[in-house]
Amino acid sequence: MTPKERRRAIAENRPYDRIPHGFALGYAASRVTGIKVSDFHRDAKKQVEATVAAYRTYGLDGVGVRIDIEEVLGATFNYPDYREPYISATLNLNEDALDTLTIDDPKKHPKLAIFWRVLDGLFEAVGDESYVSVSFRGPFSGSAALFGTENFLRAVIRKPEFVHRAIEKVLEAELTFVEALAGYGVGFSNSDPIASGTVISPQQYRKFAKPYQTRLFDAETRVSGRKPQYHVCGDTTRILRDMVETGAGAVSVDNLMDLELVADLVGSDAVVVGNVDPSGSMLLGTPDVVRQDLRNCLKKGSKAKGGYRAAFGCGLPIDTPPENLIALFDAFQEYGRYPFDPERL
Amino acid sequence: MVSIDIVSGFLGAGKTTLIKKLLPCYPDSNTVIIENEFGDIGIDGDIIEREGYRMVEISSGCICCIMKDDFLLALDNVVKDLRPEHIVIEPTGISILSDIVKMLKKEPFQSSCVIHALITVVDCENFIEQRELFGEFFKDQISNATHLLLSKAQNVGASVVEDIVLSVRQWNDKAPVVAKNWDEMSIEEALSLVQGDTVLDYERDMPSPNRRSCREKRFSTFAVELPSSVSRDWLEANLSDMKEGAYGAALRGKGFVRCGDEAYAFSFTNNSYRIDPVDYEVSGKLCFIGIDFDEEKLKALWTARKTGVSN
Repeated sequence: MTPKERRRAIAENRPYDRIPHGFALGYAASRVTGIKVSDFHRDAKKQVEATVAAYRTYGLDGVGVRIDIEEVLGATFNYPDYREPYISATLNLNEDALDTLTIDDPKKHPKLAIFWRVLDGLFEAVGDESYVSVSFRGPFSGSAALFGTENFLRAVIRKPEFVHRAIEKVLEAELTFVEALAGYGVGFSNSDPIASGTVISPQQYRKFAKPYQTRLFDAETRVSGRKPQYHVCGDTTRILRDMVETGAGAVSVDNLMDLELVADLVGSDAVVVGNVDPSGSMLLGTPDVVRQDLRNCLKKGSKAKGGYRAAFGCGLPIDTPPENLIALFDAFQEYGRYPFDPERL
Repeated sequence: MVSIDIVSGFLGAGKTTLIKKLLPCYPDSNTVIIENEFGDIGIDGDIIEREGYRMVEISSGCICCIMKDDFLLALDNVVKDLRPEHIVIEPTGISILSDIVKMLKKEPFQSSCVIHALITVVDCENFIEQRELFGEFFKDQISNATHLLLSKAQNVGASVVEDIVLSVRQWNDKAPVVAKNWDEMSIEEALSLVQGDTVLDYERDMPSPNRRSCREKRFSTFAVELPSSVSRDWLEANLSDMKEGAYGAALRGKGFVRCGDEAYAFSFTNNSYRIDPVDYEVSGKLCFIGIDFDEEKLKALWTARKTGVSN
């Protein structure tokens, strides 16, 4: 079944092949067609080919495009040939920098040209059968990436008022970007790694991350007609309820979180997403370790009253061995087959 | 086995300065420094190479898994290709020390590396605000350290240093705390630090039993989290009560509270206290250290319903 057929069958209470999942390969998709990670970014055609190849090879439940809005806003990204991209130059924390944080016309912005080509390419290739999602960092983590995380966190202490204005500007730029996607029928997904309880206290989360993220989700929900997904890395125990209150339809958690506890805290207010370990299991583990991890996730996650979607606990490392991916999706086919029964695991 | 030292601490704490100070104590040709690219102003690569040390930089975008993979890769390459005797790691300022330790205790590092010192640099000038603001990584760096080095202690005054020592002791009551001005630290002292001696221990030469208390657990700590807002009168009344000794002998106390729209920090020392307005967000936490605390009564005092909550 295609992702859309599967969803339709579930909605209409008809039998289907297996429950849907939320596994996405990210940059690791470049390995499916054997291209350089740098080409994945520079060449829209190659990115579409790799993304669609990953979707077909592993039977994914959707395709997506990830965009580093911070690059559009002036940070310098470095794209190594065979490793994850990283930010090599950030903006200075001063008033002048704030003035540059705008996207006037997202459709015409040169740094978004590849994004639009990829998006069109994905719709053309699989739009009739699959969902297409757009993901980027939320306003708080986006700001941290723009200014350099540690400098930014230091400014949160020293110049909180400036920090608020910076996040507001990033949010406005992101809102402009989201509005430009009206009519496309994409789903939205935001990640907020720096908003993690591992990095800032819950009090600061409520002050600097939550209000802006809530406004972004408002716009995304309106534009796409579906509630977005929200991933926060690290320990989110103390902010899980806040994450739900941002208006996210699905909350995705790090692999260090206990899914049973997450299911309990989220209750019926959102779908729980997660959290197969991308490093310990996928990159460094064996197929047996992967299957065991997935089984645990499904057992615990299926206790979520608002629904559950199995996915990675964070970004999948590019060097993940294919045999572990094959083991994961084969096992999912078996464990998740209709009618799904957690007792079977 | 490769001996590994990790120097952690937040941006600006002085990790790089410390590494420079410690470098002469390592045998030059066999030491590799793994530095995070976005740490402090980088150590001058030329100087390092001229003196025979080798340095590897790792780039980071995110603190979580991707960063970990880069780090694992970099470390594995260093161990295999450069075969050093010592590695000094300066991780990103928001790294989780216990995560790095966990990684080092797994293969392929378990059989080739041994952790020697986990030095965490605590920034005296910014500690109080950082403790309020930061999440688990901050506590993690301090609680998992084998050595705690206070930086810029000479800039803040003895009473602030004492407060900070008391505060870090709540998270780590084993690691020696060094508060000596680094500029005055001799090579011998730096060497002793690298070798795990504690001749610089802040608490070692203190004649007063009070100072050793936390480590020997003869004194007790009382900490509580207050409701979002309390009235200032209630706070003052409670602090006055603490002075009377009805709850045990309170030696020191520190807290951050919100009274309506105002945020305050209070400090309780030698049976007197002061309350100062602060311009940063506060968490409502307070802590006392003292002798013969009556936990029940203290708890009742600070969590009484009548907190004069103003919102």
